[in-house]
Amino acid sequence: MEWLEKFNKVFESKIRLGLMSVLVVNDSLSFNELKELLQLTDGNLASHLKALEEIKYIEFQKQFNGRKPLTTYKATEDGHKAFTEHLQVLENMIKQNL
Amino acid sequence: MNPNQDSLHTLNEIRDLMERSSKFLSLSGLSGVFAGIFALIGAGAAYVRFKTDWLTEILAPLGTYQGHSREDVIDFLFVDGLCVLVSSLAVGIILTVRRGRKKGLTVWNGSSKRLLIAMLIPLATGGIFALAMLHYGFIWLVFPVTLLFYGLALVNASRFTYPEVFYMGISEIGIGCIALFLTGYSLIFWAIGFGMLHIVYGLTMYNRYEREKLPSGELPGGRRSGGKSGLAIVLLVLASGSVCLAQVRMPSDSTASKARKWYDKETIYLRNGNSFVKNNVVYAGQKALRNEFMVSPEGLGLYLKSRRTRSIGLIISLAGSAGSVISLLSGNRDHLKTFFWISVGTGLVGSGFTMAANNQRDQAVWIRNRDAMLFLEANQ
Repeated sequence: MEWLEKFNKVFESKIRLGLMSVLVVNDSLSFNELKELLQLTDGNLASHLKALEEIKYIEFQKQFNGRKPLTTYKATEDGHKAFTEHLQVLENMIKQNL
Repeated sequence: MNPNQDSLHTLNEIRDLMERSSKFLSLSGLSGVFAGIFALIGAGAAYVRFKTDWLTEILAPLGTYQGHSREDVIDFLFVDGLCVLVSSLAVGIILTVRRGRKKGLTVWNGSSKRLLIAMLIPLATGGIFALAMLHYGFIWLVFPVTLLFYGLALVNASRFTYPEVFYMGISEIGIGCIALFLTGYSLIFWAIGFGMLHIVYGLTMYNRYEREKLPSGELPGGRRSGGKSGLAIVLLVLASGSVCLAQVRMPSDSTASKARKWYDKETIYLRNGNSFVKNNVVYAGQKALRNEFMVSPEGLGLYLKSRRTRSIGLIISLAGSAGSVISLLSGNRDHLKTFFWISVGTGLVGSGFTMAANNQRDQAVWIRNRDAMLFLEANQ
């Protein structure tokens, strides 16, 4: 089972995979936009974002929108690469099992 | 769970999320239709206001023309265009917001912002350019320029919404380019570009994404996106709408509905040559047709007569064309004139016979269908 070894553990969670896929196609998204897209609670989203951040798949930027803090997230180069590889693995898996 | 199914499901979810996050998919197709209708009304208003003098005014670039003053034309066109723009935008926004709510998506988000910015940059540039041209009096160029910049805006914005928008943008640019050189028809091109194209696009999108399912047999042209089918689609929509209404009004179990069912089942109509349609099935062949006419001796007689008339007409026109071919080949100049008139004459007589044959055939089918209804009572 070669494909199992390549299977990226980080993306085992649907939420993290969803977060990554959204950040890959968009330049940058704010915390609130992510929350709305994935229909998550603040705490849940924050913990998953933190997990992705720790392995440097995404990076964030804090700025102020008037008085309100605005955090925007971005996928890093590593994140892009890891995500594409993971998609490839998924695809291969489907092909092999067909 | 089956890993295969699971990953397929995951991939689908990823795709859906990517689309939802990066593209604005609440754009209502109907708003396109309304924008097109408003544009047609605006173009019609401009035409009615200035009629033909308006075109001469436009075509006289140095303004030697008296009548409506240049300022008049500019002011009217400006107000007219603004009205069209505002009303289309208003209806478009209302419909889009409603559709977004129905789909459970927020309308004002990152993707709609990006779509708006992508559209606004070329549109604003084009708008300022058009205003500058109005300022310097190049009225006849304003129409193609608005088309061109609108097309560019659509092409630019198509990355953030449905891919069909790209083709619409290309078509607008094409029409704008043609209109650049046919300045006398700029209003017509403008009406085609902003009116017809919007309606065609709107109906296409509405059929493709918004309507749940096409009822069978309705709108065979709805999936085509070609520019030419626009009018046909509109007419078809109207026609199918009225057919639906008619069907709704018909009580389900009355004599009228029985008669109607019987009519649908038993009557025929002819199609090119020897084929005919009965109960939505196409049949072909002389023999089958003759069998259909067996219920009505009178109809059969008339039908045979129409065939005879048609043959006579065919022979006459064939003889005429054979004569003209021979005269052309013979190279004899004296005969040429005679043969020319003979071929024209035979053509006319031949088409006269064909017309008579068509009348007889229509009548024959009508009599046959009437006689077919006679068996309604007996077979119930």
